[in-house]
Amino acid sequence: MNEAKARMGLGGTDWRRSLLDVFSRRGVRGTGYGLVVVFFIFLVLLPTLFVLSYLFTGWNDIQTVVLADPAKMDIIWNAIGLSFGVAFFVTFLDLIFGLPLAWFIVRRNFRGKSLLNTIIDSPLAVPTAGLGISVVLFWGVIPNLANRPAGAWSLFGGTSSPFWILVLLHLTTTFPYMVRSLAAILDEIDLEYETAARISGASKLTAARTITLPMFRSGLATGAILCLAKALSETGGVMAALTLISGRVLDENSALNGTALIGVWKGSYDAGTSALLPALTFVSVLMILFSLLLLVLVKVLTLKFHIPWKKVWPSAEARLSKGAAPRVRDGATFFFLAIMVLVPSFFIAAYMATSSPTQGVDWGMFTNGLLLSFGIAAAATAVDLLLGIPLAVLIARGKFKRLGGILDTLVNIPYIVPSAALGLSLGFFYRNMGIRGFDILLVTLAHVAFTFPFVVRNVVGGLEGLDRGYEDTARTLGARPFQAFRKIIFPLIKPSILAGAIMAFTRSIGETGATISVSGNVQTAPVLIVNYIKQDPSTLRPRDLYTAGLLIAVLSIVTFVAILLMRFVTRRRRKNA
Amino acid sequence: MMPTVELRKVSMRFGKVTAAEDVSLTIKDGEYLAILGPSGCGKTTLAKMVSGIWEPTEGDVYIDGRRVNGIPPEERRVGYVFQNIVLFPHLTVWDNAAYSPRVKGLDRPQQEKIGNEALELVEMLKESDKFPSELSGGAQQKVGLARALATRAGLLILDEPLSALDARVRMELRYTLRKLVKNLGLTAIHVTHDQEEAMSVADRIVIMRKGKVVEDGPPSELYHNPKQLFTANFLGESNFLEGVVDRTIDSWAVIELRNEQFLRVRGDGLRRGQAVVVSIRPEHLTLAKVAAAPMLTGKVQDVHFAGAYVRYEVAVRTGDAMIVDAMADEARFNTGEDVIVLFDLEHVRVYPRPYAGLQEALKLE
Amino acid sequence: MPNIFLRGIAKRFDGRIAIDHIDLEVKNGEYMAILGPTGAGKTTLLRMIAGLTQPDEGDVLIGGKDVTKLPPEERELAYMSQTYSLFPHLHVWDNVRFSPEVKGLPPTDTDRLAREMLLLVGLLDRRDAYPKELSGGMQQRTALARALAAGTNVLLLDEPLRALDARLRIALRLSIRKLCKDLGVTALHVTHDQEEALLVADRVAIIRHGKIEQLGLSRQVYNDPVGPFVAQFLGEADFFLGEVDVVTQEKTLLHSKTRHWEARPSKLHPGQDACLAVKSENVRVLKDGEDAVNTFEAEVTRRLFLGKFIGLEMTSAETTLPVKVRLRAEEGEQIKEGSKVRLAVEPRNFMVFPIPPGGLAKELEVE
Repeated sequence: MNEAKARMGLGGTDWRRSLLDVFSRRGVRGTGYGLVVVFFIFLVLLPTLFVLSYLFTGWNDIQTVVLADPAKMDIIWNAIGLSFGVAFFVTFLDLIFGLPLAWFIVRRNFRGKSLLNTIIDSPLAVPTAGLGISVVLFWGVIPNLANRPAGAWSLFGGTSSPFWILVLLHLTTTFPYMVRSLAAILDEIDLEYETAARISGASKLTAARTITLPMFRSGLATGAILCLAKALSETGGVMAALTLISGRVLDENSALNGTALIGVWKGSYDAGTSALLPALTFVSVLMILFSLLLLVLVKVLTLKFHIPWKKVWPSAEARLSKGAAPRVRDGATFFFLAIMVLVPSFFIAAYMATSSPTQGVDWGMFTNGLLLSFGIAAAATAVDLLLGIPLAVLIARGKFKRLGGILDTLVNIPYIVPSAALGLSLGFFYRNMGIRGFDILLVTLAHVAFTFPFVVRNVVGGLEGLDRGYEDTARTLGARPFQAFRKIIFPLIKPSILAGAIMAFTRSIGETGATISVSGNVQTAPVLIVNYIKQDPSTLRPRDLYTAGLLIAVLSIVTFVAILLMRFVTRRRRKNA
Repeated sequence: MMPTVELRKVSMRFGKVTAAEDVSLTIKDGEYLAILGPSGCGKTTLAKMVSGIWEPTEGDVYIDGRRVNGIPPEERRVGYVFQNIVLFPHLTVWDNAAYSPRVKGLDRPQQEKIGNEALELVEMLKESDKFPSELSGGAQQKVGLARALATRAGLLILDEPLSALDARVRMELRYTLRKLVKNLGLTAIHVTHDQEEAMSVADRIVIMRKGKVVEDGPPSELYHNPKQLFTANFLGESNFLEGVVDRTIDSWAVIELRNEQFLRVRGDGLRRGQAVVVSIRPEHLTLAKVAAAPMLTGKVQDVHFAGAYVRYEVAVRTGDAMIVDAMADEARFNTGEDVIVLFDLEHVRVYPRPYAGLQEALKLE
Repeated sequence: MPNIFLRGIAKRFDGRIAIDHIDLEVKNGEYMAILGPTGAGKTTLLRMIAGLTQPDEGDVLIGGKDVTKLPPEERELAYMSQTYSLFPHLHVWDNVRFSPEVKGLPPTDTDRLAREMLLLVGLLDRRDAYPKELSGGMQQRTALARALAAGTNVLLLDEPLRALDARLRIALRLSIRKLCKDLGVTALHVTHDQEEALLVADRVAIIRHGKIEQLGLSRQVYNDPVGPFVAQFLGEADFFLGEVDVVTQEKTLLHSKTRHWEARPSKLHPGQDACLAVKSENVRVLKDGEDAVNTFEAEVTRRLFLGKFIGLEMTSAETTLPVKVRLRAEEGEQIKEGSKVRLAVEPRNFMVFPIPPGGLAKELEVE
């Protein structure tokens, strides 16, 4: 023992230890973190918000060209109104039906729970452009489409209202997020609180309402914010859906929401109508500002909002807790899940089964689109990890708690900002600096920006869930911070890193809005999908619904496999912890 | 009349894991029963089955003669105190205590009467407006007790109620608990892994291990006359010496221990040649300079001061390490001294040597 | 040369004083217990010595070296937390090897050290098990082996027995001390359990509200407490009030409204208001006809069986607080609830203290 102790003082003198010594020095580590923060600000944050500066630099133009033009203002307010109206209504529906479903998943033990979870997540695998097409195929009016499979539309003729179609679309894009975040928070509330309530004499419903729900507010807030953000941000699906029900190429006189308007005007701008610039940026600015405002509002409201728990109705609530009532509730929930979310999400498969491509499939363009999508997604994810992991460590483990808090809030911004507006802003940021061309690079940078929060949030979550005792003990045993990270922290947060990476990757693959608003030339798969359903002026029908469907199928399968992988990995983590 | 409780051959299985196996137990009206055992022995399982939080996989549970299997917890009249206290964090102390009458739909004056009474009983009425997070652990658990008492149930179940608290706080609350329960005349089931706690509060203790009942009886009976080796080791501490019965003479037996040391003890029920284990508690041994049977010679290895008593570690001639406790003012021996270890004959117990080996029988976890 | 030296250590959290200027010397090879209620600052103190928390003021010296500004990995010590923090993704062998490995020791020495420590705690045959497969006691021993394999002279233990069942605690208490003594390691053992502290330690430091109330050998802090808090925190004590009449070299004489008391010599002066304290096991129950100094009457309200002892709670006219008495099992056999008894205290067992500034009741709060 004593000779070992004596030798301990020496330590190895090889080059690895010298390198470790250098990098462990506080100054070097500090500089490293500083660089990461700088990169975050210049690569992600600034480009995202750059367009806001236009409010000042271009105020004159905005005043004269936009504010003074009542027709333009009408278009803008209608679009924004549609965006926010749909977002609120959908979030409301998500809450109503998502809560009982989340409860069911968390509180009941049954075989096949994992299968149910995967099923609920499955719409996330479909690129949103595909969801737009599927939803309209199921619910909406599509002028001049042959071989249309029977769906809900057969019962009442189908809806051509933009509001309702967008609501139905966004149920498929947001419901899984709501259920997931509600379930995650509910899982953290110890069942013992409900048990304590019930043993005191409260029925299941009373216990849930007076005890669990009030403890649950942060979960409701998170879920609401996620859904609102997703609904406001969505472009590809919206454009696809609105195109299909209108039966023609969208222009500024069609019924549009905020992101579709950005898409349409950007298209015109690229085609040469440079006078649209002030209107385009003004809409983007408004979308960004209102989204940020909404985020703050929701956070504040949920803190103030009190779920009433003082009044009880013992006999009524007891009756609702047993027998028929819960079964009706579960039935309605699963009916909602099936008919409003699952079937519409995959309905394009029904179309594929009964038709064939109108033109020959252009395999070249098809493959290019896929490769481009995967390539951009992979590159963006890689940058996210490189930048995001150190940033997450800084937020969760940094010495300066306040800095960590500020960064944590800032990281959410690219997430809340609608991706179409983000893309526009980023495009302007770099082009203003004189960077021309490099469109693919710019699109990738935009994808980095809006996928960044996924990696950071997941890794921060993983770090915060990691018992500090492990690192503390490791360091007292002699491990330098790098050693502690490599040997202890990293292996234990691998699942979180992987989950974040997969979320980022899949989000990027399905993205339309940011891609279009940075550059009209980068034809990723989702962009191709939207093009394929634009109306062919000669036949007055969607150009090639079938090929669009093929693209959707390939993308969905890849994403689905990725989601399965993530479930598998995070389940292993829970077993080991 | 307070409720009686009966468990008839109850078992609890989770897939391959058996938490409790074939347990039968009766608790009388007004009895304070402790269920004692190491972690994982099934004691909490029993508490949850009586309260309705879990349904037994097999067997029946009766409260007051009525079969309660399948009746959910909100319809059984049971008060429950949790190990993790589990006060509702968003409610004040008063709202926590008065939760039961409120959710049962009692009117406001009744809620106030019951809530105030319960808080008064645990001396926490003055803290009514505080939130749980502002209270110390012991204070929180008192409120937990008030919440359980406010159910006005005659049956109180306490699931490791003091385990989360400091040792010193536990000592104080033990007195409070027993006093309250006895003054109100409640039937109580108190689950714990702390044998000192069980002995001090209970009328009767049930000892459990690995899902089964080992033995039961009043604390002093179990302490002075444990029928099982496990009880002798788990309840309080004991010294154990392995040996063989060398011969029996009248009512005595002479046991040959290791290293050809002999000990003369009471011979009831012992036969020549029988493999046995001799057990005696540390406080029933005395150190002396002058020999007197029964005894073993030895040398003091270490001396530790424990406050009210002094603990000697003595290596005796059999090769065993024995613990001897002496009252602080009577302790006069030092490390390294040769001593005689005198056995108090009345408290020597002899057990047949267990088939699976002594170590296995004595395992504490 | 003291192995651990704390000089004027102070720490605040959000304006609240956690540690209030503590000086402490732990001798080389000593096993010291730091005892106090939850929230007293014990864990904070330990973390500052380990380097996991920075003190606002003061210095920490280990082995004569000022380590106040050094990060944990550069201090020569090992730390074991209350929950052990065994690395869940590594099996026992890799857990125990961790310290020598990260310090750069050659693999043969690392393995040898790990094997030695696992042998010492008796877990060599479980080297391939993962922490979650082990029982509580085995996890604790693994954590101990891992800490000792760090090869340092100083071991910091934060409530090392708290996570274990009560009976297991009693069984494993002295084993940690033995290990440290055999290896010549200086140990600081933090706990809230006074019986544990008294048994395992050479010296005990009682800490409360961030200050050390008393530091001394087990016997000293138990039999000669410096004030009412320490008197009742170690073991159990009963308190009476009185006013000092006479102080001599051999005794202190006091009186209350109803009677006179004879107590230990003290440093108070005549006319001063005082409180008397006596340990529960030193209150004697008199037999019929027996007489003694400091006799008073009481009625038994509660009888608790405590195994070695019988605990009796009584009411008496001499004090508003309940009187707690501990008797040996044989002596307490006959006394039942409701019995009226005569109690006595030998003057040398009666401690005298000034009334604490905030009042006696506040001083005696255990939380």
